[in-house]
Amino acid sequence: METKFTDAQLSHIIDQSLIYQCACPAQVAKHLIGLRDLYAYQQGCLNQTDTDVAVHNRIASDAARAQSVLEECLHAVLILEKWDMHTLEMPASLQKTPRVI
Amino acid sequence: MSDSIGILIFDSSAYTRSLLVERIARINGSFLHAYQSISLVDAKQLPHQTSLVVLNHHTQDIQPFEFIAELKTSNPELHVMVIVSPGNEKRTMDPLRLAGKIDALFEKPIDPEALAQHVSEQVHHLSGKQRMANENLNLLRFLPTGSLRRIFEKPEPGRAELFDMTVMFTDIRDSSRLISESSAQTYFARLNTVLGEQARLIRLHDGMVVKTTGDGLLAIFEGAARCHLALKCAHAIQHCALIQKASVGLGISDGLVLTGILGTPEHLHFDVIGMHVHLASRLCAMAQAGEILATQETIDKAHFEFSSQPLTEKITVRGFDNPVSCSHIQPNY
Repeated sequence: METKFTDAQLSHIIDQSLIYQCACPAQVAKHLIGLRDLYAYQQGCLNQTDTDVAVHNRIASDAARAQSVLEECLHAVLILEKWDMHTLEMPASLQKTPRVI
Repeated sequence: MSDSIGILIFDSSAYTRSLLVERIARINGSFLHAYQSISLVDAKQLPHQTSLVVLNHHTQDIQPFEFIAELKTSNPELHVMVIVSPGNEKRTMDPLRLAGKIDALFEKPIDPEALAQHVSEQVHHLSGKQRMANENLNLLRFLPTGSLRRIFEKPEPGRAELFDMTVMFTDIRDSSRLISESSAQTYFARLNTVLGEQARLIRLHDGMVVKTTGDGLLAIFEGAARCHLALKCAHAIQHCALIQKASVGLGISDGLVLTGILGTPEHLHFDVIGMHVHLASRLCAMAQAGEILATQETIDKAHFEFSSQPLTEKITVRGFDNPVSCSHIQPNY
């Protein structure tokens, strides 16, 4: 499955959000990871009948399509929110009243 | 609830660390330390009273597996919470969770209310455990440690058993003069200091304080080495009295003693009665300041190495038909 973001990049986006309230890109990233898990899971399934093959192929292609759509979505959201697209750092303006510890 | 549950937060991001601190600091009964990196803390030597660790792991952080494993190995009672990204990051933590090295694994993004509730429940749970442990420790101070313990398994008034034990009485001499020369409060504080130290020494020598007797204590020792331990303890008490500038006399006797619970279901107390309790009490009253007066039977059983040879004589003791063979022991320090 072709991907735009690596697993580490998705984790990095999620890491910066931590909590739900400021986590729109993180929610998308989380579902992308879920789709990758789904894709990997069905790749490991046994093909014992023609139906099995058809089911797994269908899941693989739809997971890949969904992946592509959500990756585009994530990319667009990160640009809208003005994230640094090289480092994938959340802009300070999105952070909730941070305190330096 | 007292502020006694220490929580350590590890998070390499100042921003998310501040969010965690903000959430967790609202929880009563706890205090926080927040660190940027796990490398700043030795997992084997956590700050005093640390009971809970919250680790927010970031993808680019150093791998925390060894640190987490060491946390639980060195501090088995510690509650370890890890917050991690879903997918591979979470999967790498699963073996530690399954091995019991991680108690709670949260997937990012987290629900802050769920996190705060989990931490709050843990603080409450750990405070309760800590309080129970303290109460248990306090209660143990009043309980015997050996076979006598079975008396307390069914603490019924009137239930008694015979035990071979060594009985020791201590008494502060000249207390009437001390009372008249000082205020009641000053005297009481001094009495508490002297008796408190005696009680500590009795416990240290595997004995049990049965009760205070005004200016002294009644203590018992049991087990094969009871006579030896009682004499050793008596020497320690006299040495301590010398340092405290207190005049103390001690009486010791060994033999069968009836032990049991007296009182009513509403008010119970443990007590010892019998000939040897009377005898030890009488010997204590007869002992000079700084002296230990013990029955010869106790001395013979003790196999004790005295700093100066005890003076043995037969003493007429009130309430006893025949003179009792005793030894006067004047410890040298």
